Amino acid sequence: MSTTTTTTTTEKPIQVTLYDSNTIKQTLDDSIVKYVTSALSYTQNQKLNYTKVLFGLIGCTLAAIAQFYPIPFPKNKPVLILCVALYVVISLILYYINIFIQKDYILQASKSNDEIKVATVLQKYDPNYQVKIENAKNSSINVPFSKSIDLYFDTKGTFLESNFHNDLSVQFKKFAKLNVKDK
Amino acid sequence: MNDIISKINPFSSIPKHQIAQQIVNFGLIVATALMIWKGLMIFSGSESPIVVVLSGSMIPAFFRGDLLYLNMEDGPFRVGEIVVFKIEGKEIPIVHRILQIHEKEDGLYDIRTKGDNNNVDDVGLYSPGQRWLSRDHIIGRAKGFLPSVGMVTIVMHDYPQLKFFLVFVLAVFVLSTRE
Repeated sequence: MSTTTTTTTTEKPIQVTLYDSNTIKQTLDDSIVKYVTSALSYTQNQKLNYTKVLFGLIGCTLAAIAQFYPIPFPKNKPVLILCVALYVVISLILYYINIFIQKDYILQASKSNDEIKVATVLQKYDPNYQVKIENAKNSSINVPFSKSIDLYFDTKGTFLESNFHNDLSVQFKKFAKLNVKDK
Repeated sequence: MNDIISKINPFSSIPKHQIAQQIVNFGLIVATALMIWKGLMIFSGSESPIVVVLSGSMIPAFFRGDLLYLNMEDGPFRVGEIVVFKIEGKEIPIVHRILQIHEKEDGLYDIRTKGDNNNVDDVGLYSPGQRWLSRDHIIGRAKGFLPSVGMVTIVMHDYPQLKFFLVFVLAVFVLSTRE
């Protein structure tokens, strides 16, 4: 599992387990978030995350009510039916959010009048890491690119973050140019 | 000072919203299991829709470790029907077969049960002085079973450390896995 410790003076290199594509994707995703929020000074938009946490809490509350309602079965059947029905609704909402709203997006961020979304995909057994930077308001403005992950990790699994940030810099400049042109 | 805290605390690099997400995900997994159970209760009408056979009293119909699905539908009981009943003051429900029934004019039942593999009926299992079961004691009728599936439950009951260990492993796994 990857570990990151940050100080103001030095940064410990990020180490990942090679061939663990989940960890590799998470490391790269975290690095994109860090690059966008630090180097480009965007502010991350957590609205979607908070919405999911809120619905999750509502679901947990319904389960707690169903479990601890102080009337024994079967007199509490109407309460159980209500809680189970609402829980199913909550689950469907969360599923919808994950499948149709969040999709592959790992980041939504804004700066002054600019709003961007970043989606990433790392297919199983495929060494190519695919990134798409797009305008949140106009999804036709987007810059997709795909790179092999071995450009960013050495043979010991150390993350070569500067290489990755250099490539990100190129793509974000391309995106900024495209963004300005379409306005 | 912040630097020292950052070095000591391994979670400082994880954003708070992600920690909240992990905890809520764990809660949702527990909640989903609980709600499936509640849904089963509603569907079956029984307070305990799935039970594990703990003894060999119903051999050869059921063996220790079989999993039973119960249903508490309305309607008359019949001699020969397999029911699960609970005795006041005793913790574990018993799965036995109806041996005798007396149905009164007001629709109430007096029921006596016996395990197929037992030599005597269940009067000795009932509360002291109790000689019959009524409908209130019965929590379900056996409607289906899966052989041996409940063995996991029995093993966890016999070895509580194993149960805690499994719960701990599952919790750690869920909390440490990111979406």
